[in-house]
Amino acid sequence: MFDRLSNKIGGIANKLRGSARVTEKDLDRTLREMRMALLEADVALPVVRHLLEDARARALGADVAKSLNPGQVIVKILNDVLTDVLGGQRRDLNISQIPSVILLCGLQGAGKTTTAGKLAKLLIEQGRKVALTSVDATRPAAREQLEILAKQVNVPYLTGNGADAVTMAQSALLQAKTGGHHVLILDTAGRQVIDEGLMAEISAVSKAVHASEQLLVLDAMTGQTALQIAEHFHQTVSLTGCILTKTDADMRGGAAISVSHTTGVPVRYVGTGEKVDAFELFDPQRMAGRILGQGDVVGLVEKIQKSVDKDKAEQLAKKVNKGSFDLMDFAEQLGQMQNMGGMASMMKMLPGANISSEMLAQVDDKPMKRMQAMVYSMTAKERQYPRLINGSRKKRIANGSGTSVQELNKMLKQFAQMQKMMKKMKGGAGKRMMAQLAGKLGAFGGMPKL
Amino acid sequence: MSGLFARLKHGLSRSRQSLSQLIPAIDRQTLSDQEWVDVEDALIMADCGAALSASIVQQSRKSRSQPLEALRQVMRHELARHDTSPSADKHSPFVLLVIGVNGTGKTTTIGKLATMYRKQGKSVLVGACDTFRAAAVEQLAVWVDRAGADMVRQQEGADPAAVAFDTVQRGLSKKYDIIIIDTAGRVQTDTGLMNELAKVSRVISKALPDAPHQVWQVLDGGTGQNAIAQVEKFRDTAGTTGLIITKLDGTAKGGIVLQLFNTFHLPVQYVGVGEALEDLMPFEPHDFIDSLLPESLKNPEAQRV
Repeated sequence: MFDRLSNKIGGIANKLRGSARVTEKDLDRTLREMRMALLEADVALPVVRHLLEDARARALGADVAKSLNPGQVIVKILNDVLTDVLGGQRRDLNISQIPSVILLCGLQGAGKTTTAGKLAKLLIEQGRKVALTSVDATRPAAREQLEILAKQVNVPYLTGNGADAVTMAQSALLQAKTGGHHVLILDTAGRQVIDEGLMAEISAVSKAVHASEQLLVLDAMTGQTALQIAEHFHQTVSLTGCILTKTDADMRGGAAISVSHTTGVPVRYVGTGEKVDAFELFDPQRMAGRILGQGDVVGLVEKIQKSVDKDKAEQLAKKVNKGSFDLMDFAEQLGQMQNMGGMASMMKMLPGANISSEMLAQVDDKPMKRMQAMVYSMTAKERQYPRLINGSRKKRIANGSGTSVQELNKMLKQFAQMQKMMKKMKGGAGKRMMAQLAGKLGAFGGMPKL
Repeated sequence: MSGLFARLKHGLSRSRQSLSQLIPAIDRQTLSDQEWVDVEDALIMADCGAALSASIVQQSRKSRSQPLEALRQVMRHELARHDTSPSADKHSPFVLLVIGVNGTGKTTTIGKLATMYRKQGKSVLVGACDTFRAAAVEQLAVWVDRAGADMVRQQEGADPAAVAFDTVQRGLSKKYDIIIIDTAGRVQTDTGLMNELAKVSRVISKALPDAPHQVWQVLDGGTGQNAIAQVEKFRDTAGTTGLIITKLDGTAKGGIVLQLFNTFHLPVQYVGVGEALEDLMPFEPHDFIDSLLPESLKNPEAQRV
């Protein structure tokens, strides 16, 4: 998400890694480049200034020049500064009271309604009894949208009665009480922060229902204005947290830094896609790590765990051990790679690689898909015994998958090599073989040359 | 029109104020180095981007004009080649494809466009191709109804390309003047959904060979540097021909417009300054620059050469 920023700062850090000592000039240059990188990531300028001052003070205080690896010391300092701003440690939502009200506020189009649905789903999974309600009478079909979402995540939608937002909210809260719901998620109409009437309304709503959490829903793509948005909402309803949406849009995420710095409230969750389960806890340390190009290994492992079926993986391991890894298994492996979001999204999370967006754009998942198509155009027997595939069968498979016989030949050859390697692995050649295998897979997938 | 300009000006006033607060000396004949740095910072805070802001200041400093006027001239020059107004009269039916990321205001904008065309006495047919988001079609239906236009819709989850095809065909057979295709919001990094968008565009040209005549991307005025990536990807996917910048009635400064034009030379067709049906105004480069900059204390007209 913060990939551009991590490239830049990662690049600076790489330069510094080479030099034996850091002079004040080096530090200036580093901070200047960091300023550009942070601005390009849409961190609000006053926040950038503050962060750089902080980093400079810490760098001068630390004995950078004498340390063994000055570059790493500076990266560590930047990492600390960012982690501190982004909210330090994780914090749970305050929903101990029954019923607790979570109020969602934000600008139009930030994604409040979608977020309400996602948050509801997350809380039910934690075993809470959740209800949803909307007091948005402005946007056409806003309430219908939330009702549909409520059905999707299997949560009751409470229709607040009343002519204005305050009475509607109170009515819904009463229903939540009698219905025995633990948490009421309250969706509000999008508003511009300079609209005083609407800002007064949201303050009144928040007070009327004694919301225990007032969360700002903010589009991660927001520019410099994120600062004012956060300031205004914080003044109006005293925010307790922020949810950053649309972080899947190749975000550099500066808005998160601006909000946390200005209001002192943490970003709690991030929306990572359109589906109701595309919603994650925000982790400042991981995020700071990603900004500085140290990768996100935890995220990568989580991603793999999510998309790989454990039973299937065990079966596969057995097959590899028995040496009976066939084309069908091969196709399944390719499919799983795609389930994880393709090669590019996995590469982004690798530490130290410093992969630029240009490089990522070159990553092509198409060869994988073509190989899959070829395997799917084979009969079950052919998949098990590729030796059966003679000239006329090859023609049929190539036609069926929309590929060519040459491509098929190449794929079969690569598969045969892979099978051979797996047999060796079984023989115990171990790690070195795995590395070779990874290299092969890379050659299959159209990886860019790093 | 002047009322709308006032609203735009009001909306953008925050950055205008920040400019005058940061550089109270902007009306002087010369500025110190530090004051020019302040000008640069103010431009950055208006979302003009670090690189472009530096370039604007550099160019302004070379000018012999009074600083504020120099700034105005340089910024106007940035938009000098801006050329709007593709006439909807050239084609009948005129097919317009509206695209953008989630939550930028596509549906609302389409409601406003439909109203505008209806007021010009044209018949308008809208295709509801956002078959993904819950209640998106209902939201559009309310707007279309208010505008007095007609709509083609299918059930939720239907293939958007099929809805687009049906819409254009219906528009052709019933001889509508304007056909507007609404699409679901999508982030530019979602390859699957971007391919879907490319398909919608392809299918439209199957129904009518030279359509869509215009492809407008709706952008949230509060978007930061990510706007560059957005516009690039959407242009490559669907052949964007123009932009609509929404929500300029809030704290958004819209300096990103300068950067976008600098990078892509895509004209801004309209800007949105409010929620009401009439709050969509044609983009005027000079007015826009004027609303970004602080007003001169002296008579500004006298200084404009």
